[in-house]
Amino acid sequence: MAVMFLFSSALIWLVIGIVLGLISSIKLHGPGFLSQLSWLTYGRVYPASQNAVVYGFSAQALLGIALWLIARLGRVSLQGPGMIVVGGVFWNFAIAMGLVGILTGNSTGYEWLEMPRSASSLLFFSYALIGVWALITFHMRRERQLYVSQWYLLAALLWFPWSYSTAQLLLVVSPVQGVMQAIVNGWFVHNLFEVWFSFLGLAGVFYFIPKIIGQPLHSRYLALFAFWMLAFFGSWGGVYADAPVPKWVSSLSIATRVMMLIPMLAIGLNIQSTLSAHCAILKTNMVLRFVWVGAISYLLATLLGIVGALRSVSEVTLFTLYTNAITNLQLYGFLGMVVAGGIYYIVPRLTECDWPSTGLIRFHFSTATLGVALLVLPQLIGGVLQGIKLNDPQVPFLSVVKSTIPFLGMSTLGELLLLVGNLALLVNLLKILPACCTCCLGRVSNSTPQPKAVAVGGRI
Amino acid sequence: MSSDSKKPSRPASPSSGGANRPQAQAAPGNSTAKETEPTAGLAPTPIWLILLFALLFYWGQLYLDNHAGGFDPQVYEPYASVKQVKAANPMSDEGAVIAKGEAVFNQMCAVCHQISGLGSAGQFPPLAGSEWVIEPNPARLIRIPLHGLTGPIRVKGQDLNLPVPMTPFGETLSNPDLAAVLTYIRQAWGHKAPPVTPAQVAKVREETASRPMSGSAPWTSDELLKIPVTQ
Amino acid sequence: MNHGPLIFLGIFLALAASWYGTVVAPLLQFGHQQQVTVGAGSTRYPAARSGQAQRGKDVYRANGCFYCHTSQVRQSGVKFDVVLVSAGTNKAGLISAALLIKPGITADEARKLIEQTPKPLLQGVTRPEADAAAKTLAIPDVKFEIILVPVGGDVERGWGSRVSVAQDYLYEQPLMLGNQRIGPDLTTIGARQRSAASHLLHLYNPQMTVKGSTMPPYRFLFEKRKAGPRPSPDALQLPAEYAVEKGFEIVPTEKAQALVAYLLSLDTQLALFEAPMPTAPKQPELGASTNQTSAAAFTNTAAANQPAPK
Repeated sequence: MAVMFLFSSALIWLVIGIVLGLISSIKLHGPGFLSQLSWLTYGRVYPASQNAVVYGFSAQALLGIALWLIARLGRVSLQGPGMIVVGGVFWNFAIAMGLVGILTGNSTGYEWLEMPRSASSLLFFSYALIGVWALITFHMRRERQLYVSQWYLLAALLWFPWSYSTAQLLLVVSPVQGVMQAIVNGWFVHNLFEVWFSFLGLAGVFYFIPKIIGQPLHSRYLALFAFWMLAFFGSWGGVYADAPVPKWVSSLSIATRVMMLIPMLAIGLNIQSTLSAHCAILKTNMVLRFVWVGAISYLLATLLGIVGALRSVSEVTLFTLYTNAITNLQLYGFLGMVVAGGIYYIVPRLTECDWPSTGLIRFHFSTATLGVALLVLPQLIGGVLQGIKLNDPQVPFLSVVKSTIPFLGMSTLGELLLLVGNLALLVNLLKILPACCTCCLGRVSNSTPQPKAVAVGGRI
Repeated sequence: MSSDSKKPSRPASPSSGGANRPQAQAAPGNSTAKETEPTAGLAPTPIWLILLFALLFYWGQLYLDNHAGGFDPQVYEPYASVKQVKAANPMSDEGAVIAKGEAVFNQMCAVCHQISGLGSAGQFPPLAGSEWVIEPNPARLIRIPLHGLTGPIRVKGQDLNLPVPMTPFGETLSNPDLAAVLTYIRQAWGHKAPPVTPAQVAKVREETASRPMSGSAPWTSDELLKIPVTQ
Repeated sequence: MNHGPLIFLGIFLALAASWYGTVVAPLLQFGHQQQVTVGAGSTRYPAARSGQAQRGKDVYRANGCFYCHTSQVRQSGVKFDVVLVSAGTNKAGLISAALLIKPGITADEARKLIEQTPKPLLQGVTRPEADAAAKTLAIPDVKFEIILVPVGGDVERGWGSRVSVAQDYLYEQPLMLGNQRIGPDLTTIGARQRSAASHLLHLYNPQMTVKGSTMPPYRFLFEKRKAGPRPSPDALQLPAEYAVEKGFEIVPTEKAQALVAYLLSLDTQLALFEAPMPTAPKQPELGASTNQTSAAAFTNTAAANQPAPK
């Protein structure tokens, strides 16, 4: 099963990514830690961990959810599951190549695009394989009526190849001059997080919440309004105030960034109105809890992003842990939680088996939530303090660095919790797999036409 | 209507919602194809949100008006406009002369010749592109503002007859000021003629000491053309 | 309601618009800049980097130095100083002018003020204030200058003399601006610490040169080898408490040498029209001539650096 394959490998990358992240995080307060080996130096481990989490985990798992949703909402079975698995294999292979490239010192030097050229071409190719079959599935849908999530998904499917290939062309293949690289890079990263990931994650949020509470989403119009706002304003920007580019470029970014308040409010309002009468389910349903925390993290991260983009705030927060806090909130708070919720919801339906341990799910939820909070909050507060001290030339630089260390320690702890929580998910998944393969193989013959992928051939 | 197709599903939803709780689910196989999919209600987008959008959009425009430095590629962060960048740059001596000349020009000359240097047709001759202005030797040019000018004159291939004589500035402007304003008009509007020095103005003043500067003896085109400019 | 084509078209438009606005428009406007001539001489800026420094930049990229170090100076504003260069002969006139532009002072203080030149009369004023003072000071044979003073935390820390602009990065490929300041900014590190030996020691063991530094050591850029009868010329001069066992020495590899060449090449910031700076650049006084380690050059204590323009 294509989706299962994507989920499992995504989780493995998540664990790898967090382990690498943990190493780099420890290095920030204990620089001597594992410093003998060149490939474990901070400047290599850190981007490797980021890439593992972004492309290995978030992108892959979200694609898995997207495929499942497209099939489910279109009431068709997933088309070309074999090709998707092939694409998935290549995708994982590309990420492995990319990480090895980064760790051996072949990074391109562009943020979120560090993977060397060979790996990124393969990544693009495998995305194309997956994306094409996703689009075909979308096209073949029997339910012609489009649900909101499908809008978000379709847009996301088209968004990634365009922005990724443009960025690769202008940065790696035929690089543009000087600061233009920073602009292209910023534009890509902004699109990756504010548009692509948002679209994918929100598609999940808009599906799971009404699905679980068994009520329609509050407003289709509000959701589509947010959709167009995100598409038209979220895609601009990415150039921070004070970047060494003519002022108008960063001002344009700031102005459009502030416009993101509108989709943020629209999305928040929509979720709140949908959920308000059904808060009781939050207490009992773990999936809903995960998705709910994810949605809140999304709103918070967007708000913090807007605030941090403003000139007067950016003066303090730029180049500090504050920016890391937002990225982590997006990655682990929003995407990580929505994906976990999605996996908890989808896997039993695909395998027709229940999760072996509810305790582990609850444990995952508490550790992950606490982990995100411990990771993000200290970085937020520490970042602001760091920025204030950085701007005061009377404070020696070394004491600025020292002042961040307690906060970094706390976020290392948060990262550790995240690792433990996600290991719980992985253990649960590994337990469900052998038990299920037998049971679903037995059922394949008499199963009703299901929006799940062809069940045979599921190998992990 | 988006919810039509799924109407019968509504009552079933709570139970399927409950079934999603992994711990409560004992019997597998609940997820059949008949399971309902979420729909969306039709509540309109609240008007305040749309108003807020319009407001923010307007704010964005204002923000770009004030913080984009006129979309000029030479304006970077601490500066607000090219003018500020210019002001922050140390002014070269030449730049100072031009700036002074521009100030004098805008105050004294632009009334007739216009800021654009184009004058006004049939009344005030143009300076921009005028061969009188960019003549490498400024001997004729300096005389004009010293004592004024009258009568017919040929500028840029066009004959015109000045309806009123030009006001002389020999008494109101000092040599450095005159030199500055002449340098300015010789280098504004794309001109690239060499500057005029205060010494050159002083020399012309000496040569024409006998001529009154009260406006009673403006130059004529013919007189000026007799002054040699070759050396 | 089949909205597939509508979504497709809308998405296409949205992405194309943002691509045009944030990528193409800047590319057309300033994506093809040229070297410029700076100052009175024929200095071309920015200068191309030497081969070794360019290789060092590769080491910088490969080891991800830019995840902790930025290469970009920020500037929050500009102020002006009015400096008296020569008092001339008309002392009385100058004193009354000084009283006018500095209202709070007594005549005696004004007399003292103009005794020695060059002497800043006004510091940290705005351009209009400076211009007004200039008008007051327009006395024959009194010479004064209006000097630009960039302000901002980065500048006052001595990380640079002015804001970084596009012209500074013309030949950077890849461009590694960095977005975290876990370590100090490196825009002018080559001017702050001119000694290659100090840079090497710092890379070998940052805690040795800067107590409490959180920078990881880059031992893998160095080789430990048996010392010959005489120490190699480029072996590190380690202080006693960090010395390796007798008979061995630490020698930088080609990579370490290249990286240091790159760091040393980061030393120029020239005045540009779009980023003016004081004509007489503030002296990067630290470590300029010394060969011994100067911790201050790395840590950049404000006190040790610039006389803050206040």
